[in-house]
Parts: sequence; structure tokens; C-alpha cells
Amino acid sequence: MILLNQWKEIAWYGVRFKIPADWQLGQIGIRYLLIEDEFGPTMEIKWTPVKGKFSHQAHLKRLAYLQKKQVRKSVKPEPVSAEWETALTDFEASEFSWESDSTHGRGVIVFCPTCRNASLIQFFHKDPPPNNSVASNVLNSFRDHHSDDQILWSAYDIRALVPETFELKHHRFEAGRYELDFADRSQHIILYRWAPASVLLSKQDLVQFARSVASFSRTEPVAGKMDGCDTVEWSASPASNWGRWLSRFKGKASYHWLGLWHLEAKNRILGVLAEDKNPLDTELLDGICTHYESI
Amino acid sequence: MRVFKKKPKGSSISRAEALDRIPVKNRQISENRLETGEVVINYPVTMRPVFAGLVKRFGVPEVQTQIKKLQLDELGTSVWKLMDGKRSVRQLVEMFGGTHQLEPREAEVSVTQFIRELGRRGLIGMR
Repeated sequence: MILLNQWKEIAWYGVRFKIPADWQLGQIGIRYLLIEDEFGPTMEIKWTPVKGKFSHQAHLKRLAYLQKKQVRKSVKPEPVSAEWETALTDFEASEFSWESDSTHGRGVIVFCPTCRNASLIQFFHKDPPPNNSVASNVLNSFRDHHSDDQILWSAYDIRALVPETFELKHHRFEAGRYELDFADRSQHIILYRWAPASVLLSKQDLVQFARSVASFSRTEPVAGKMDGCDTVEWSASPASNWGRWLSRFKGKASYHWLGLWHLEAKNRILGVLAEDKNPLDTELLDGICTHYESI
Repeated sequence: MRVFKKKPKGSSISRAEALDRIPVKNRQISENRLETGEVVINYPVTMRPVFAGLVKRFGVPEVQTQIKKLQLDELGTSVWKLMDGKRSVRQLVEMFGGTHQLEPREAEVSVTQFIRELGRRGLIGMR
């Protein structure tokens, strides 16, 4: 029996799907994810928007061409299994398989006629053969477009909703520190997550910790409490009308806002830093902070 | 003799095998605990023969080994305390991750990097 409520959701660059709790994100790229279990890679997914006509055969040939010679020869199209077909009813799907000395794989190329996104999803397996129902459930949960103007980002233990106008420019997942840097024209929004908070705040308070995130030159950060969490808020903007007018022509951002909050129960510190040459949209920042969480 | 002969492949172990190994502390080391609770490890370092020869030439009494100190931070100390010569890397990762409420991957990276650094300095061996 598969308990889907114990699965975790991955959402990255517009696509989202669920994976078993014991699978982990191994590699994260631009429109690319490699999922691992204890024994190594177990699933790979890459996706891209398609302009013009889409051909499953051409994509399969291209996929085969990118592989090593031995694997290349073994890539062959397969009829889509009934389980996978049911799981991918909203997509045009074609199945394929391949094998190498150490492992073999089975996957699908799916094309969404609604958003014109093509995705390649493949499952690696050593012996014994994969649990087909697990793969079917992953495929069943796969979505590649969203109905509103917010994009969900969910990786490891962070989850955020960011307006679709913001593009992810840079990401960093290091032990203890995660960082997602989004940009929309001159506006930058950076989401931070630090852990373990108990260690980071053992010799300093949240305000002192905030000083390691941004340099507070013009104004001082303000400590507070919100929903039982310790918070720090800081903002800076040009003081005079002349400075506000001039800020539009400067290369660097003149408007800054930083919010940090300490989730004591989860032993995390979350943070949002916003920077722009123009005045910041506080409603937008409120929305991002409200939906940014550690799960 | 082939000058540009291909390097032999090193013995590589899988991630699962590596996690099942047990780190064992070097018997030649000693440790002190600071007031803050952090651990300082004292470990001997043998001087390289070249440097030992140089030192001798300058008339310094022969010193074959030096004692170096390594101060661990709070997280390093917590992993160090967990190493009892019985627990595997996997168990250390689970306990460390559980104590600090870290993501499994994050805990694994932190602990394995720390163990690698200790191994590089000869402070632990793997069984």
C-alpha cells in the first residue's frame, strides 16, 4: 500500500510532482532534477518549453544521441503501459527504455498541449525491477503548468509561492544555508533559510545574526515578534525627493527591505531580502513572506 | 615503459557502503573541553624528514613530532561526541540530523564533510 500523504512535493521552475519520502533531491539545475534514493539515482526529469511542432521521435533520437555509445544503441521506443497512460491522461506521452551494464531505465517523454512544455521523465533501476506503482504515482502527480499567476517552489524543506513574473536567477543549497534569488527587471527578491537556528543563535541574537546577511548603513534593524516568532525587520530608502529621483538612474538598488523570522519549533531561520531601484511593493512582499515556509 | 599510462581506477565504494563504515578515533590523540563545551583535539604530527634535517642543521634539538591543536565548533563537537567507535556514519548522520532537526541530505553532507576532514588530518580511521 502506498501512503501518498507521506510523499513529499517537489516544485521547481514551474513543474511539480510528488516523490516517496525516502527519495532525496540529488542534483538541481535549470529545468533539471535528479532524484536519488539510498542506492543512487532513481529518477531524472528535465523539461523545456517547445516552440513550433513537437515530435516524440525526434526527441527520443536526440536523447539517444546524447548518451554513450553502448546506451545509445539500447534506447528504444516502447508502447505506453496502461498504468502510465492513465497517470498521464492530460499529456501526449511516449515511452522508451534503455539499458547499460550496471543499470537500466524506463521513461516517458510527455508533451503538454496546453502549455507546450516537453518533459522527459525516466526511472533508473537495478534489479529487482522497479515498483511500477511508485513510478505511476509520481507520474500521476506530475503537473507542468499552473492556473494562477503564482509559481510554487518547493525543494528540501522550503516552500514558497512567487509571482510568475519573477525568474529564478541563482540558487544555492548548502548544508546550513539555502538561497533562492529571484529577479523581475530591477527588482531582486532573495529567499534565505538557515539551520540549525539553535546553534546560529547560541552566541548572538537575531539582530546580530541579521547583520551577517546585510550591511545596515543608513538605518538600524528593528526586532519584534509576530505569531510567536522572533523577527527582525529592516528597510532603507533614499531620504530626500532628490535621492528618490536619482535612484532610478543608479546602477545599484536604493530601496532595501529585509525580514528575518526565527521558527523555534523547526530550528530554522527564514529570511526575505528585497532590493530595487524603484520603491518596493509592500503588498507583494507580504504575500511572499506569508507563503514562504519551512515544511 | 608507457609514459602516459592510464591511471588505475581507485577502489570506489558505494554511498550505502560508505555510510555503513564506522569511524574510530586515533588512539594517539587527546582532547580537552573548553568552558563553552567545545572540544579541542590535540594530535601529533610527525615532521617530514626534509624539515627535520633542516631543523637539525640550525642546531635546534631534534623534534620528531609536534602536537597540533584543532578546536571544533559546536556542530563539530556534537558529531565528535557521538563517535564512540561503534556507531556507523549512517547512525551519526541520523542522530546529528535528529538533534538539530536537519534535512537528511543536509545532515549527511555536514557529517561526511566533517569526517573527511578528520580523516585527512589522521584523527580518525574508518573500520
